[in-house]
Amino acid sequence: MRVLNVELPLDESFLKMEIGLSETTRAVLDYVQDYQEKHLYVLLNEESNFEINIQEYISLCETDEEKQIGNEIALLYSQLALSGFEIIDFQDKQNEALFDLRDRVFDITNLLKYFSEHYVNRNQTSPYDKENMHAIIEFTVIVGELHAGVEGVIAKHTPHEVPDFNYYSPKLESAYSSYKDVIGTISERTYLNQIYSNMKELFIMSEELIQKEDLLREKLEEFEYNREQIDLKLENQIKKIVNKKKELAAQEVLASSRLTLNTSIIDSIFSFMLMGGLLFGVNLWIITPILELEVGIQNFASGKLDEKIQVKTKDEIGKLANAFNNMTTQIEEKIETIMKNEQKLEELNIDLGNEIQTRKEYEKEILRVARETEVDRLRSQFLSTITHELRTPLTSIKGYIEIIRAGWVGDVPAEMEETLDIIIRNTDRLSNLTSDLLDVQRIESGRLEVEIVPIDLIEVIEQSIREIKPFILEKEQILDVDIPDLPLMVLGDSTRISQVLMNLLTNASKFSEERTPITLEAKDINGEILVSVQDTGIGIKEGDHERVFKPLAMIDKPIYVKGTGLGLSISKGIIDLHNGKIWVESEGEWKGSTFFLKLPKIKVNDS
Amino acid sequence: MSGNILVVDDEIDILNLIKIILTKKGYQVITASTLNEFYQMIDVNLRLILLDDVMPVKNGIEICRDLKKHPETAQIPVIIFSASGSIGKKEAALEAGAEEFLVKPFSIEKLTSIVNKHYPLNSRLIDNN
Repeated sequence: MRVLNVELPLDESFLKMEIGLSETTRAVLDYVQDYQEKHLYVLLNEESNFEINIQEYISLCETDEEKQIGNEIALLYSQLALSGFEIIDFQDKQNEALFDLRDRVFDITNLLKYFSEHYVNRNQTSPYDKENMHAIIEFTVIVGELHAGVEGVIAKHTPHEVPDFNYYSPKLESAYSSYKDVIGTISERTYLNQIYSNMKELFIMSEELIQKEDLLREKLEEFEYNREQIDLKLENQIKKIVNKKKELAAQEVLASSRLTLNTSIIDSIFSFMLMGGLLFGVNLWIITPILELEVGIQNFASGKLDEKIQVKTKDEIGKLANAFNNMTTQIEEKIETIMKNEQKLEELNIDLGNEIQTRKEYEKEILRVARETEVDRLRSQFLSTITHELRTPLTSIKGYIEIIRAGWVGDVPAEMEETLDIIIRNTDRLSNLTSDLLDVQRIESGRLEVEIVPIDLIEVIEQSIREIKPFILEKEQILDVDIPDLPLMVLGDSTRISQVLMNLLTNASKFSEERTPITLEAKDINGEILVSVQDTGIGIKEGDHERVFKPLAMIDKPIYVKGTGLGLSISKGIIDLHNGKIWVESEGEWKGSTFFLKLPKIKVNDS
Repeated sequence: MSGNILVVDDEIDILNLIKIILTKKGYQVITASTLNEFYQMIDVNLRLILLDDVMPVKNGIEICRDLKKHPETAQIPVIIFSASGSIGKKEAALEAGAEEFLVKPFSIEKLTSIVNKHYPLNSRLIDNN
């Protein structure tokens, strides 16, 4: 407020009062801030000063109206001063309450300490045993935090910042309830309950403290408001007086200062225009390009790489924009390349995946084949060993028996001859069995070898007939043979074909009764040789015609016949290798059976 | 000790068996049951060698091959006998140079006929004279 240099005692009064009012307010606020007693004395001082000053003013007032206002101000001020004292008092009480709070926290801490010691001793546990000491630890933490909070508030003079007891209340409740059922002795219970009730009171105290704090705030606001009222009133008064004086002085001054007033207006207009022009220029050449640059960067950031910045200027910003555009173009291209590469990579990945799949399958296949080969190898090795081990002793047995039988170790009486023959026959039987087993194995694993050469089937048949004779004679059976005189050439293994024929003939003999006929026929039909062996024995039941050719078929037979049931399966295996056919025809049980063999004939070259 | 027929088999019983049979027929037989013995017995004047195919260290087929490689022993006839009657075995024996392949168990008859084929009894009589 610029008061013109007019010498009036009123000015001084007002000044003093203004200052006084300001100081009064200051004192109250300061006290609330740092609780120092000196502010109280300041307040007292200012109060008395103001009273003196206002009276002074009133006495200097010319009009009644002014006097009236003066009185009002005086009254208002005294009320203000009073409320100031009240506030100070209130603050004192708050401080006390805060200290009470602190003391209470301290009490609880001590109680907790006693309780904890007691509990630890009784339960022979450690203060750090989380499980047993859970609630105590919980309490200790809460109390500790409260303590710290309260101390902090006291230190900082911020009572409205007391710890939020609403936050701690549920924790306290849960800790207490978890504990009260566990507590043993009476003294422990007492401690615990004391702690609990103290903490509850603590909460109540703190709530009151906060409420009072709010009240204090209100009081201060009221104080401020009242102060403003007085301020306004004072100002009004001052303004009135000043205006009066101003009018007088202004007229004097106006004449001399008119010119300066005009020029300042012209200056303002001119400078305004200048400013406007400058702003325009800046906007056009600096701000707009920068904004465009900003837009461009934002576009880039959001992925719109194709929207380039429009370069309008050749200056630094223009260069920057150009560089930026180049960069975005390059980045665009690079992104394209990357995407293409990614695609390629994906394709390669898929190919790789397929390749791996195929390889894995190959691996599996290879492993499978390797395993099979290994199994095969082991099996054939086993077979060789077995045959060797079986046949070697058989060789000895047969050999030595034959030696004895031949009379080389001594005379052999007739009965002994027969006995020895039996032994020899049985070694032969064993020998044949091992051979059969070996053959079956070989056929099963596809390893049976046959020596395919042109052979005369007739010769083979005749050989077989010679071999079978003893068997037939034993059972007094009759063998009818019907074979052509001419050679019948086939491609085959004579030993094996012989084996087949022997098998059929022995079967015919075995499965027929004594004194029954067996017929052996061989015919040449349209380039194929058909051999048949017919008997009048047990026959083949319906449904068994194919089964008889399976190894170890063990078909139900009406009579016991010795043999392993391997012969026919071996025969079939042999004939299959010769590209021939073997089958049986029979009308049923005890209706006899005819076994057929078919082999392709080969032409004999007339040489 | 000189003899005309050499029989090699690690099975002593079979060795003996063959010896009895052939001796009875009039041959002079020497036997070897190990490879070392075989090397001791080998003689250019042998008239026939019988080998079992399955033997430790070297089998009959390998020994046969060795015999046929050396010019001094190459013309001595070799008979290989085996428990295996497989065609493959027979082929292997013949490929190794063996003159005959015999399947165990064999009858006295079979054995003597084959031996006679390559070392006729008549000639033996000539030798011993």
